[in-house]
Amino acid sequence: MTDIWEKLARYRKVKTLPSGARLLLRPLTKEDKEGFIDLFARASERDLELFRSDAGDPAVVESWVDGLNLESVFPLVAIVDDRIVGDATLHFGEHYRRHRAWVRIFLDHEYRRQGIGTLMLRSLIEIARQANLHQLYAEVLTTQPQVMKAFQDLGFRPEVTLNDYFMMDSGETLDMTILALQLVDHSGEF
Amino acid sequence: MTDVWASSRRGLRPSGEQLARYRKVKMLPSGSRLLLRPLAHEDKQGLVDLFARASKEDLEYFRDDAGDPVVVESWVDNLNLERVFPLVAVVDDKIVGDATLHFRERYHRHLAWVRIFLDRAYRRQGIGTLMLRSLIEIARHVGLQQLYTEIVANQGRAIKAFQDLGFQREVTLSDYFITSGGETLDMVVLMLRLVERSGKF
Repeated sequence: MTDIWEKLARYRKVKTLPSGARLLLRPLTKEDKEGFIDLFARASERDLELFRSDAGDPAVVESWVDGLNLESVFPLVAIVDDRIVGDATLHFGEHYRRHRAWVRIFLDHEYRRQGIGTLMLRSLIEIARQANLHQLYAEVLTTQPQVMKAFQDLGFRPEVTLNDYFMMDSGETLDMTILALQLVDHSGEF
Repeated sequence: MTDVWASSRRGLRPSGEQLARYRKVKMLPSGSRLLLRPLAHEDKQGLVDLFARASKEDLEYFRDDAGDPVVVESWVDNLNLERVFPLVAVVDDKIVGDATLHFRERYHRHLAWVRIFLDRAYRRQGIGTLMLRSLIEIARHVGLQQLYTEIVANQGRAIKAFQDLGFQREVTLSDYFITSGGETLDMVVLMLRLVERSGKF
């Protein structure tokens, strides 16, 4: 299993964007601390509401880098012009959840609608298969149809919409859809 | 049934200190006295002993390795009732059950997840239901809006117990649970709404 993680730590994907710029996707490393903090420093207040932790606090972001463990959380960063412009993560589970992971993604506003998010998700799916996962899950606000469609285009299926599952800073609640991607087909088992 | 809540300032979320004073007492059909109260630091050995009596099958349902005393001890050492509220059931000075509210932060701060474990020798006596009722009471008291739980689909009795308390099935997630042997099982997610969904437009 160690070999898989060593291999995944070396994961690289390169693509030329429509703009002509070069996109590099690779795992986060400890050397990325400053670039990572800068990414989230550019996030809007609205963006920051969607994070489970306070990504607007540099100390929190630093702790993610300091506590980096790819076998627990696998952050894939998107680099354009030597700058981290996106972060897509696989959050692995243990025990009865060890066969699945949750997917989260954040892209700098300036770099959206260029297909980077989809490329990042494709890479995470590839990595998840290499890590022998059975399923991937994601939770997406129903107010984000574009994001929902991006996941669905990659094969994720809506499992349920949980009403009022998300609460904004203001106290207003929003609905959230849980989507799943089956990487292993269990159908027809007896 | 008697219970004692320490006075809490109305409208404000009770502190860990206030939550720590929760008590509920009931006589069981057997004649034994059941006490429900929050876990305390002094309960370390009792909690380790509870999970030491768990079967291998029981232990599969835990998110962490509850069969490892070091893990259980860490739960007690890191006790913070404002993050995880463990309500223990005590009979004849022995901890026989543990039901927990797992609070969340930020965009999930209005909800909590419920987990429960009962010593096999003390099941089918209504203790689990009493513990869940207490957790619901506590959840309302701290101002939560929803409670969630996830149960393996083949545990019909446990699912029914939650449904009898008002939890509704939200979804069954196929193959969401994997056993130590690698077999996958479906899992049901249930939700109890503590606050009515207003007519939004």
